[in-house]
Amino acid sequence: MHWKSFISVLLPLAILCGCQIDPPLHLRRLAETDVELKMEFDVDMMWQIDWQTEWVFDWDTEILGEVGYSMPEAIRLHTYPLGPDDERRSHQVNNFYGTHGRVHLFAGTHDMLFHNIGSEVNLFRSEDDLADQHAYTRVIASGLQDSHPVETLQQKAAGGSKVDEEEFTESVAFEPDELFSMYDPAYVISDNLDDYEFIDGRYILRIKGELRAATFIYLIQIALKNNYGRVIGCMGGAALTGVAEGVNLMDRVTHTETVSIPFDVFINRESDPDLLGARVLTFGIPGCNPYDEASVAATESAHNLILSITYSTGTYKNIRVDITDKLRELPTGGVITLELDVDDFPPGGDDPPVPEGGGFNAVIGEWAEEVGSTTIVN
Amino acid sequence: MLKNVLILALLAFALPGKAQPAYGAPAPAAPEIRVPVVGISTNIPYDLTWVPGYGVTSVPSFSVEYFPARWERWTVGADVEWPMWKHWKTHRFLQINNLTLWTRRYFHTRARDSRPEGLYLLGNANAVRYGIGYDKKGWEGEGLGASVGLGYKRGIGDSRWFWDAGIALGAFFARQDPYVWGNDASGWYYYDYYGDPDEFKARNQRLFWVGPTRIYVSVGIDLQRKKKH
Repeated sequence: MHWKSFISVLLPLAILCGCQIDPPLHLRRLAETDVELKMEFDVDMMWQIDWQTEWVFDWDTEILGEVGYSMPEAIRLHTYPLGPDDERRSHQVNNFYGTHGRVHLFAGTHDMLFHNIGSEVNLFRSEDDLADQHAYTRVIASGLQDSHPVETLQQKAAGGSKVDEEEFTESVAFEPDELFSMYDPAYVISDNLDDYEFIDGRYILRIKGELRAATFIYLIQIALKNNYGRVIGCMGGAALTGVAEGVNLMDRVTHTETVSIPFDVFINRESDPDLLGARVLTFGIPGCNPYDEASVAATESAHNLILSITYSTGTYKNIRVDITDKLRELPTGGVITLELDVDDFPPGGDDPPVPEGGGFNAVIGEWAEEVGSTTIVN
Repeated sequence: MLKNVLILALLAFALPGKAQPAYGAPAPAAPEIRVPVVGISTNIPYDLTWVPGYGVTSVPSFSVEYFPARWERWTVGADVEWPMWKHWKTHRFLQINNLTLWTRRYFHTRARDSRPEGLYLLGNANAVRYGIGYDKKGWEGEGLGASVGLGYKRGIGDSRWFWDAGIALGAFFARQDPYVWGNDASGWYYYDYYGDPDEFKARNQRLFWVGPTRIYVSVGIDLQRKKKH
């Protein structure tokens, strides 16, 4: 009898416990998606409309490549499935060649980021697996060599420049390669097959997007007045200061930390021995979205062009020119034309000789020692 | 608490009533005594409790302790906790179906007409299934546990009421699925899984806990039956 009592107590409890555990759970559907990306970099819109008229330097495209952007070789797609409060729950990476690919994505809402890959210079990082993706380039030196301030003819006519006499303390980083990106937050991958196309026996969802440039091209040309053959080039290189160290590829806001970017300067003695020309890529003005005029206007920045002028005497001199106003007028790139009077930086007896052999860079200070290793994930 | 009342009512029906003498049998000669048979109780901290993330709630609990007549120091029992709260609009769920079977070994030998009392050692084994959700995410799973503990039981005056308190330490192992609310047109909840669906395995997340597994401060009543002295 006692055991029966015991069991008769437990039995109704067991029945009560037989209720269903809710909510019922479902497995997300994996959708086959056809990604089709367009490239939106109409330089007539990004630069000056009349940039082709402005740009007079005889740029040899066969040797130096196109002055504008080229098509990316491969694209990386980051997808972050979102949780109920639009928080990122996971992170998936897909790569595909060209601007067209087919990837499998979970039905649901995703933050989606596309950017091109294939460059050994452009690096990517995020604070953690779910955080925003940032692009940057590696620092190669702690600073630049000393330089002499020089005003452009325009600045002299306007009453002087804002050239800072202080030395630059920012690091020197590699010039980035062309980088394009597209961020589409809260993109919905439909779970409804009516939204899909039935192709070759499979349901495929088409995703279309437009990549925009995340690194900006500046075409710089320097007209040398009163040269008379004294300046024969810029063999020691050049650098652009005060540009962003990197960019957040999600919100397109450039880093506030600034770096100097070294680059090469060319001269075509046959067509114009008094005109220097260069093409440099940067992440742009620091601390702003370069596509947003208000964002750009809300920032302050200073930009100098450092040139290692090579003289016919076999010596060189580093000069710097304030180009803040010109660069800030062109937050997404364009043609910057400068006029310098060589009488303002003539060859002098104290100028050091140009070292023998090629490949020297007179602009960069102490090169950083490589410590550890860098893993480039493609 | 209503469920507690329901269980007590069921218990009242389940317990045997007054023993009827066989038809034509002679009247008992020996006097009768009231012998405690079963103690039932509820765990006060569970009945009104706070669950992290979920908030203040009730975990209805019910405990039964059976005193075998021939066992002077040993008893056996079972605990059940069964909150089944489902708040669909706020995506909060607290569903626990826990059954614990246990045995106690009291340090004092009890008289035949008294309840087991005083300090005791406790051995537990429990099985549970659960579905807990808040902040639009949650977990569903099943687990097993085992623990040993120490407790103390004491009558309240000369009444049939008693209080009982104890703590147990042990291990608990569960396999579960985390889930999230989809926040889409379907209104569904989804496994928090973003791998290949063909490789999906339910209950693939494991939970292992070593430490306190049971704590109780219970109030209950002994149910008695008459027996010949």
